[in-house]
Amino acid sequence: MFDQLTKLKEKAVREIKNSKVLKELHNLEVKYLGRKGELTKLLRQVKDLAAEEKPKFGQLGNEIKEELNQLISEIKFELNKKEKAGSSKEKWLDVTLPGRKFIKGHLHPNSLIQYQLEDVFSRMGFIILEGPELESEYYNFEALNIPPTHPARDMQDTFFIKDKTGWVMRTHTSNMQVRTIEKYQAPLRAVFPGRCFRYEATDVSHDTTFYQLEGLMIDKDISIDNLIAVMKVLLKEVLKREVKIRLRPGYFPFVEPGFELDVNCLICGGKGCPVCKHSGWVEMVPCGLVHPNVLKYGGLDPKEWSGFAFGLGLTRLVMMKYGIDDIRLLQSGDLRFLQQF
Amino acid sequence: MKVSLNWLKHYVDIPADFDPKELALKLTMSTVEVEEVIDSGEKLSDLYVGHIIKITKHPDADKLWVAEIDIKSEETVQVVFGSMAQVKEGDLVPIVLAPSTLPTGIKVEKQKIRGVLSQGMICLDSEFMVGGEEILTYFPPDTKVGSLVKEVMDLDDVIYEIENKSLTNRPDLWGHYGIAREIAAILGLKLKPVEVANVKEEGKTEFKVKVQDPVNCPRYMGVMIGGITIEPSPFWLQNLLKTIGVRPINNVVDLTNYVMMELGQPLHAFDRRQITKDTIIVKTLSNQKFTTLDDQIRELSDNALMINDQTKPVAIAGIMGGQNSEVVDDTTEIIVEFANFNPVNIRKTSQALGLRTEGAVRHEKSLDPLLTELALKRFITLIKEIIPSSKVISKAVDVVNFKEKEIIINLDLDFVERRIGQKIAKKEIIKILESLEFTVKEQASQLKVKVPSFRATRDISLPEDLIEEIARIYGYDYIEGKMPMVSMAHPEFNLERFIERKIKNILVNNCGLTEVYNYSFTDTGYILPLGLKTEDHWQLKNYFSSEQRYLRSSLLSNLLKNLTDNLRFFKEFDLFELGRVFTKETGEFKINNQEDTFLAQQEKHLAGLSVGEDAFYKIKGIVETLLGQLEVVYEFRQIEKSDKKFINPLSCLEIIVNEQTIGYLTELASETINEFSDGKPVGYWQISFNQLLKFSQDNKKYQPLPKFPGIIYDLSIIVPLNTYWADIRQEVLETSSLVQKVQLFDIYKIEKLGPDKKSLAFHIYFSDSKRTLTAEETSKLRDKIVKQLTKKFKAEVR
Repeated sequence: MFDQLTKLKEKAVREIKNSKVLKELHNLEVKYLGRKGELTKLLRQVKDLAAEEKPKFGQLGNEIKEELNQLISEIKFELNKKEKAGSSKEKWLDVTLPGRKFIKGHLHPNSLIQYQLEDVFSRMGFIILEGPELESEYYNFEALNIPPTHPARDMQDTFFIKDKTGWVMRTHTSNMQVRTIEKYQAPLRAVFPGRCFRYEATDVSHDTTFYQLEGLMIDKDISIDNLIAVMKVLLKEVLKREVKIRLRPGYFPFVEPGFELDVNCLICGGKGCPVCKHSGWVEMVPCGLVHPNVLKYGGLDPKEWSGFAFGLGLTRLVMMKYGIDDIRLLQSGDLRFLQQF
Repeated sequence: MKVSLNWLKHYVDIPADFDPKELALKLTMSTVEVEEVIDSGEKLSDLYVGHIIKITKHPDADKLWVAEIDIKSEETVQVVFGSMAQVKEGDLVPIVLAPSTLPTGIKVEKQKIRGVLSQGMICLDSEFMVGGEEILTYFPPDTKVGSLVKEVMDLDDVIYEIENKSLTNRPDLWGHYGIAREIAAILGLKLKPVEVANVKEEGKTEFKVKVQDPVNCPRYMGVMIGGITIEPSPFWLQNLLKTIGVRPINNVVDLTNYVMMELGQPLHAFDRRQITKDTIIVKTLSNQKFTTLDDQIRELSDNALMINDQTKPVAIAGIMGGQNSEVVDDTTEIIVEFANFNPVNIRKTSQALGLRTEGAVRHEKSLDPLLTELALKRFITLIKEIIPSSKVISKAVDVVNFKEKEIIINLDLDFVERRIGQKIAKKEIIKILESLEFTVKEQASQLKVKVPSFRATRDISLPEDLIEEIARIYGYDYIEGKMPMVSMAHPEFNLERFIERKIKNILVNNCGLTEVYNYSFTDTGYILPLGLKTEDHWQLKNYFSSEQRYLRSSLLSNLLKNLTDNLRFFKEFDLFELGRVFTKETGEFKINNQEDTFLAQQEKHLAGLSVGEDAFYKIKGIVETLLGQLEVVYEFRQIEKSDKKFINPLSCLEIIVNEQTIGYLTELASETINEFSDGKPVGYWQISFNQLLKFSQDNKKYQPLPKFPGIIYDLSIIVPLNTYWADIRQEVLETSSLVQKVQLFDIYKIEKLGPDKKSLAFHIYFSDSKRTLTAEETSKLRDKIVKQLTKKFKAEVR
C-alpha cells in the first residue's frame, strides 16, 4: 500500500507538471485530490491496515497531499500569467488624476473640541450635563453667593429679559453648579459645557456669545492639593503635552479660596510674547474650592463635604488650538471658515 | 489702580536691590494681579530742567517761536516751539535734548524747522510721562538749572498697574498702605505705622452734622479747618500724584487725594462759606437735579444719598462734590468730610449716573468704618505741614451709626491641613496670620483668630477665608498636587450626549452637511418676513445692536442669514444647526428650588437648510437617512395648507411618529426665497431634538440570509406626469406576496413622451423564503403587474 501511494504521487506530479492550460490543471486537481479523487480514495483504505501501520500511512498521505497542493498552486500561477498576458492588455491609467471625491461635511470647531473634552472627563468619571441658557438670577448669581447688590455682578455684563424680572441670559455655565448639586447631591463629579452670554461690545476677542466648560467635583476632604493635580491632568490631556502651570489668587464669589490658573505660554514657551502680554503666562482656568455657601444652597453640609470647581474657556481653547484670530468667525456661519474643519 | 514703588517704600523697607519685577510677581502670586510694571525713570536721561533765557519770533513762521535755553551745558540750546501758550523768559521747564526717545515713544531729532535749527523740544507732561496730562510743568525758581527732570520730579520710580477686578473683594487694598501691608507679609518685613500727630483744636466754631439716614451712613466724621491759603501743592506732592495718574489741582484737593491714595479712604473738602449754618445733613433724596464740581448737571435716581446743608444739597455722598460748595482760589476755611457710606446705595447711585469716581469705587467695596478716624488724623497732620497757617477750628464731629464688628473664627489645624491638602506648621500659620494683622490665640488643636477691622466688613468671616490667607502667603507654588481619593462611582449613561453625537455624525459624515453655530438672538428682519410675530419672541431688556434684540424662536431665522451670506461665495450648500430656541410656553427648568415656577421653554431643535435645484429631494434624503439610521419609525404626511408663511404647502411633508408630528421638511415659499436667496430653490427641515431622543432606537436584529435565490425584473413605464410614485410602488407591492421590494432607479421626462408624461424605471425583487421561483411564475407575475398598472395609472410599458 505504501508503494501504491508513492507511485500514485509520481504519476500525479508528472501529469501536473505537463499540464498546458488552466482547465487541464483543474481537471487533474479533481482527479487526484477531489472528493472522489484517486489519492483521496487510496487514503481511505487506511482502515484495512494493521494498527501500527496506520499513523505512518496517514502521515505519508498527508505529506503527499500537501506537496501536490503546493505544486498545483505554483503551476496555476504560471499558467495564469501566461493566459492573462495573452488575452487582455494591461490598461494605461493617468495615476496623477485626483481620486474620486466623496462628500464630506464639517463639524463646527467648537463641537470638535467640546467632544474631545467630554471624552477626557468621561474617562475620569465625570457626568456631562447641559442646562438652560435663559436662566434665573437665582441660579446664575444668588445661589453662587452673589447677592443682588454684590459688586461682583459688575464683573458679569448681563443680558436681562424684558418684562421678566429675574430672568437673564446665563453669564457662565456655573449656573449648573447648584442645579446639579440639588439633583445629584454628593459625591459628585460633573462637567457642564455650554453657551454663555455677556452684554459687551464685540471685537476680535469679545463676543456676546461664547462657550465655557464648567467642572465640579464634590467629595469628602477635597483639597487645594487635589484641585492642582486634577487640573494638571486635565490640561495635559487638553493641550496634548506636559505644561507648566501656576496658581495665584483670583476672586470669584462662589469659590473660597479662589484661583486663576495660568499656563506657561505655549507660543513663546514662557519667554514673553504679545500673546501672553510679555508675562510668559496665559490665564486659562479660573477655579477654586467650592464656597461653603454654594454647598449650602445645594443642600449639602459644608462640614461634611468639600469640592472644587473650575471654568474652562472653551471658545478660547478652540481659538488657541486652531489659531483663530477673530472670535466672531465662530458664530458667523461663514462656510469659507467652517469648511476648514 | 496705579501704585508707586517709591511711595510703598514709605511704609516698608524693601531692600534697594530687590528687583521691582520680582516684587510684582510676588504680589501677583500672593495678593493681586500686577498687570504691568512701568519703569518711569527709564529713557529720561536726556530730559533736563531748562532755563528760558530769550524768546524771539521765528523769522519765517507766524506761529513759531525760537527759545534760547540754558541747561548748564557748554552752550545754550536753541529750540523752535509752537503754540505753547504762556511760556516766557525766565521760566524753568522740561526740555529734552535731541536725539532722544521718550518713554511715551516720542522721538526727538535735531532738525531745521523753516530754516531755523531746533536742538530739542520743550515737553508737556503727556510727552514724557505715560498717562501724563497735557500740561506744562513749571519748576519752582529754586530748582537747579540743568538737573535731570527725573531726579527733580522723583520720576525714578516704578509704577505697578494693578488689575482692579482682582481687588473687588479687598476694600483694604485701595491705597498704598494696604498694598504695603501685603508686601511686608510676603517678604517677612516690618510694616511701619502711618505717621499722625495729635489733633489740637485751635478754635471753637460750632459745626453740626445730622445723619438722617443711619443705614446708608454708618459713620460721618467732619472737621473745620481755617487759615487756609489756596495755592499749588508743593512740587513733591504734585509729582507723586502725577506718577499715579492723578491730576494736581490745588493744595487742599491734592491732599484729600493723597490721603485717599494712601489709606483708601475717600474724603471731600467743602468751602465753609457755602455751607449754610455750618450744618451738614446726610439724607437720601429722589429725582434731584444737581450740578457736580465738574460742571455737569446730573439727574439723580431715587433714594440717592446726598450731603446737604440747611438749605440745599452740596454733594452726592461718596461720589462727587457739588459745584456750589467746592474749594476755590479764595477759600480760607474748609469743612472736610471723612465718612463711611452704605456700599449698596453708593453703587446704585454711581451706576445710575454712570459716574465711577475714585471715591465711588472705594465706597462700594465696603470700607472699614474705623478708617475714617485714621484718615482724619492723617489729613490734619499733613495739612499742618503743607499749609503751616492752617488751624483746626472746630471739634472733630463723629456721628457713629455702627457697632464695631468683632469677628472671631475658630480655626481647626486639622481643617487647615485637610483643605490645603498639605501640613503647614502651626508656627508658620500663626506667623502668616499675624503678619496680616490677625490676632491669634492658641488653643490645643485650634486657633482663635480675630479678624482685623479692615478685613471684617465683608471679606473674611469663615474658616475657609482663613485657608486662603494662609495658603496664598505660604505660596501656592509649594503645593504640589495629589489626586483625590474617592470611592469609585459609575457615571450614568447620557443618552442625550450619545444621540447628539450620533446625529451630527450622520449629518456630517453620511450626508455631507456643514454644522453652523448661530447666535441665539435675531431681529425683526428675520421674524416678520417669515410671518412670525415679535410678540411670540422674548426680547432683551438691554441689547447692543438691534440685530441681537430678540431671542430666536426658530433656527430658521439665522439659517436664512447664513443662506444670504454664503450665496455670495457658493452656489449649492447644505447647513444644519442643533441649538436651543426660546418660546413663550412654560419650560422644564425651575426658577429656584423653593417655588414651583418655571423658566421659558427653551427646547433644542435640529434644523437644516439646503440650496440647489433639487433642494427638496436633497433634504428629503437627509431626513430619510437621519431617521433611518436612528431607527425612528416614521411616516411622511402631506399637508393641506399651512399657517406658516414661509412654507410651500405643495412641497411640504410632516414627519409623523406615533401619530405625533415631530418636525417637517419643506421647500421655502417663493416670497421667502425671493427675499433671501434671490429666487434659488431652498429646502428647510426641522425636527424636535427631544422627540428624536424619545423615538430613536437601537433595535437592529439579524435576519437570516435568503436560502433560495430571488429574481429581479426591471420595468420601465410611462405614466401621466402627476402620478405619485408611492401609489405605483404600493400597487406593485400588493400584487403578490412574492414581491419583496420595489426600487426606483430612474426617472425622466423627455419631449418625445409629451408634455404631461414621465417615464419611471424600477427594479422588482421577487423571492420566496421556502423555494426557488420558476421563470414561468415570475413572468406571469410581471404580466399581472403591467396589467394592473395600465389599468390603474394608464401606464404604458416601454
